[in-house]
Amino acid sequence: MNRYRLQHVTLFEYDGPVSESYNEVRLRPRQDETQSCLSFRLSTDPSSRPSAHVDPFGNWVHRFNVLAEHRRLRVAADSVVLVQTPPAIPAGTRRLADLDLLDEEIDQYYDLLAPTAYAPHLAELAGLMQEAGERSDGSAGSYALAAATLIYERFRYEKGATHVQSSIRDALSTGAGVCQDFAHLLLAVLRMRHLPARYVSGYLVPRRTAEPGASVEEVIGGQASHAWAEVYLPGAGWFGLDPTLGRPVCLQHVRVAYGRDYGDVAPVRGVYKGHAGQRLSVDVQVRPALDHEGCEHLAQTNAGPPRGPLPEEPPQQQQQQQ
Amino acid sequence: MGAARPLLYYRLLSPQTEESRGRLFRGYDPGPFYDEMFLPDGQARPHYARMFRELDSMAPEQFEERRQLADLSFLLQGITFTVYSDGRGTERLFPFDLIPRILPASDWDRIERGLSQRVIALNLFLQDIYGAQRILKDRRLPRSLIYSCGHFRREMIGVQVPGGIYTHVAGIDLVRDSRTGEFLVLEDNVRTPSGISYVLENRLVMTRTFPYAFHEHPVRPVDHYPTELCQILRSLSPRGGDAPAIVLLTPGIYNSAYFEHSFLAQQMGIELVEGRDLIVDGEVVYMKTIHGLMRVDVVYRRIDDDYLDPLAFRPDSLLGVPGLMGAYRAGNVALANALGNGVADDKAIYAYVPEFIRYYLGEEPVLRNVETYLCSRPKDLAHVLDHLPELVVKAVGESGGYGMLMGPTADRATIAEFRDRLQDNPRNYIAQPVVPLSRVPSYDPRNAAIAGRHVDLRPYCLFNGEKVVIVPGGLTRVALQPGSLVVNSSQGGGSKDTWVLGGDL
Amino acid sequence: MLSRIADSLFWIARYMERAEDTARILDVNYHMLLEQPVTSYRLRWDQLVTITGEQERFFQCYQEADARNVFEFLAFRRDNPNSIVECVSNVRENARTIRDRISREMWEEVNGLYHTVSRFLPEEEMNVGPHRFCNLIKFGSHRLHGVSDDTLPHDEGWQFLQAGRALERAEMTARIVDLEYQKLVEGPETAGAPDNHQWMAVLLSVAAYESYRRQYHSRIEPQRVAELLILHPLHPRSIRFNVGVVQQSLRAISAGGSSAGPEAYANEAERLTGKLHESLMYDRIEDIFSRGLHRFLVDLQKTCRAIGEQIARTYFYYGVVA
Repeated sequence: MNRYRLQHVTLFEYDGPVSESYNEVRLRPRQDETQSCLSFRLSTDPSSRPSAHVDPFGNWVHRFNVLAEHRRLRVAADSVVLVQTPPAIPAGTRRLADLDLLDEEIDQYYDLLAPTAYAPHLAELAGLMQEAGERSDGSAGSYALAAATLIYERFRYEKGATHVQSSIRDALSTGAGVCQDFAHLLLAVLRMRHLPARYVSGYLVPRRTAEPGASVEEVIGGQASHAWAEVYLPGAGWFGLDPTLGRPVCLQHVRVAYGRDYGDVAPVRGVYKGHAGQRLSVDVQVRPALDHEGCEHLAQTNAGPPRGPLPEEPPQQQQQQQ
Repeated sequence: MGAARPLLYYRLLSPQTEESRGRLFRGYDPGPFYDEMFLPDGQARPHYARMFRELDSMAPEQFEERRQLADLSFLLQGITFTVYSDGRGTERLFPFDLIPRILPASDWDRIERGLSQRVIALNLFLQDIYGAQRILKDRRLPRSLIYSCGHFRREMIGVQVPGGIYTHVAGIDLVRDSRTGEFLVLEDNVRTPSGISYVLENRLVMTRTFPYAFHEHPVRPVDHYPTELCQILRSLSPRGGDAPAIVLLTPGIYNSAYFEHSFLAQQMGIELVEGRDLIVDGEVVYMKTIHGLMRVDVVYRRIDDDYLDPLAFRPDSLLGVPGLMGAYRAGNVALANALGNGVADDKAIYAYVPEFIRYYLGEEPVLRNVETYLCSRPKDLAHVLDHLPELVVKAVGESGGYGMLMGPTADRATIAEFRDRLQDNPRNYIAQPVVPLSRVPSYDPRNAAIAGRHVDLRPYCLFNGEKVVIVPGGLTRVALQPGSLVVNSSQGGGSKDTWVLGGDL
Repeated sequence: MLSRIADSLFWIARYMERAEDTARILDVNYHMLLEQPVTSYRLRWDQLVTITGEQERFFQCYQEADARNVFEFLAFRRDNPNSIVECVSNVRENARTIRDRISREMWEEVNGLYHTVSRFLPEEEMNVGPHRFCNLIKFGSHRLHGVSDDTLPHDEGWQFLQAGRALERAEMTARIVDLEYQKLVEGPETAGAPDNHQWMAVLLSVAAYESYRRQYHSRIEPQRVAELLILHPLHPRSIRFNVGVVQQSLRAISAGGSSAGPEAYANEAERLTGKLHESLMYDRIEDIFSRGLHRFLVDLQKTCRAIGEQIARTYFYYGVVA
């Protein structure tokens, strides 16, 4: 069991003034049998009054708006999370050959079996599927593990090889990608074999920080943000597999959001008014949280939104958006 | 009604003479179709008898004069719709046929019962599918059909909509099958159905063009529609109170139904707004007035789900209001119709509506569906592929006659193209046998004579959470091209005034 | 009333007035300039463009400022945002978006004018001369104002029409007087002697010729002309008169809201307008001349612009901080 303190700061800097910014974020770590979110605090600068709901995948979504003109927006999520050792895939899970017959379960997990924009079902994946089948002992669990390992072996981890909108087609054509692509590849290989699978976004805590008794604070930039996949093994439950590392998940993995693919779990999404371009930087700090925090609470700001300068008026009637 | 008005008319029109009798109906052939005016033996049906006598005694010139009066009336009021065939959008008159479509009280009674039942079932279905999903758990409907529907909104799961009402306004398309004379449901429209303004305007023009005919027929009125709709909208206000702020949200003047938006806003006395007139702050919707922000309680929106909120849906939409979904979710604003209704009028899910009626209401459907093949079922798909030239194929998420194949009139290339499309994406298509639609005598200006033309009927149903209110009649759309079965205005269709008789003649 | 609707009404009036004033300037000067010695053509046609503030754009379109080019540019060019046809089509676009809020008569007038103007063939008008076209615009503008006065309730919306027209007219009159006066003192061939001919054109172009004759019974003197056009309390083309109209309209509008007290100004637009009106009421033309007419008019135009901006900020595009 490990307890971490995570500080996730997203900073948007705009070339010019923007206003009427509306955002939703998925930054609160999930709460379930193997992970507890002990505390969560979201704050923004300029300040705002966030509200929250739970989406259909069980993720916490916080929404906020900043109306007044601003040139930078800082979103800080501060959480303390307790992680337990995830269960290992048991031996003797259902035979692959029997999976096709499970109409009932397949219907229940429709969303997690269907192809998505990021993870389409492609004929090019047939080779991977076949090889994973051959490496496996014929059970669903060993097929899933073999698939994760195979993807780890066959694809190069390369920053910048793909972009945030890339589907697995890009990784398949270049043989390289980042954790997002690895996770999407695994999703497709599992789903095409009729195994329900979901995308997981979260953090990978560096090994030294994850060691028992570690007290060193580690600043690791945006790299702690990570993604992997979970597979549903009929009769046994959900199991996390990290194709970027080529192994099952461990104490280093902190889960934040589930989805069909990246499109469902983007950590920060927003729209704003203004023609300015934006620069985005993400900074995540992880350290072992030795002090115990109480129950989680949201950032509360009492100050009203600040008054910003008003927009420049051109001599003609302002162009209306159409 | 005073005597002065008809007098004024007769002065304008040519005199009626004995020789004119029968000229308008010369060569009239009801064909192998159900004719709404005539019995198979050629006699006028009882509810059409007076109208037939009136028309039959009229000279084509007289009829032509009235027609021009009616057209002028539409033109002066600017009742137009916009077509985008040339990429720029031109305003056109919606062709209006002067001969009314008359429904006897008994037909309407059945329709009214059938539609009420259907709308209530559709609303229960939406409550269920965005709530407990009982129907899926009971395996009466395949989950895959819902979750693969493009208009299914996962964001709506668990959202409490005001009063539990999703389908505040529904336009249900009916057709009368010539083989049986029975009314069948062809299509449900529970997103943002349009056309009601034509119903009201058609009636207005008819009372001006044929005033005396209304003396002779007990025609049930339709002009209470805006009042009924407004009452429902008022009841949705999350703040309660006597004077909720209600707005009609339009995509703007370039939308083909802009006339209707502006007409309804005016009739209900509510503000007509565009997305840029609204702003959300802290999950509350405001409109920007010259005296500052004013809170909005109810939005009758005529913008599709996709464009409603760029944060929640399409980020490139400039028509919508960012943050609207959040305010809706928080219960600070009511939307009519609700978000996510498209899952109920998906054409594949349509096939299950009779099942919804049985499942949710424990009743047998009063109005039957048209027989439908779901291409997502392998067996159905095989049948459809074998019989393409006899079938109508429709894309499940489209409306307005787009994405459709009319097998019997399509050329080989089009059929081949659809064959590929069906095999590529079977979930996206359904097929139905061609229903021989009933016909109503309609004026053909090229021959200055009356001939049978195919029609459908779209009644408008308002649901207040307890009961369904339907203005008697609805929009009768008519395929003005000889032989055509396509009644959509974008494909050369016109409309007629629809009379529901309050009693026997 | 929705801000967007107020905005549209304000600009319907401004664009219509802009079209009318441009038509007047064009009509009168065209005929006057034809009687001038050939050598001065270039300079003067150029100045006609200057009144509308579009010299830079003009010389992007044309090599030379001659009668034909200037006429075409001011009347018909679609790429000149202040050309008469553009102004008229802006009037119609604005009216179209608020059709449910204006009278049918008003819409028909606007729509009719737009269609008539669109049917004019620039080449043909160039041969006939601008009089026919300009007359159509002048009377179209008069009819629009008559129709709106007679068919709209004189509520806030109507007040925005009044304010828009008066503000535009005050600014246009300032531009015309300024330019003519500069010509008088700087123009090489007119230096020294007052140019009656030219000042007559000024009076005609603002429809003040007859008034002048009745008022002063004298030959046309620049100082008297300036007095009439700047300070006259009752002439509907004078700057003072129009600033007074703007002031009254703004008062009427803010009185409808809760913020206004009976005596003080309710917002910055009202303050600026009141201050300007006050100074015009008590100023004397001799003093204005001794301080420098050009500077006075430039400042006045700036104030008009600022008033326009403040109206927009107060009523149309106010900062959206709830």
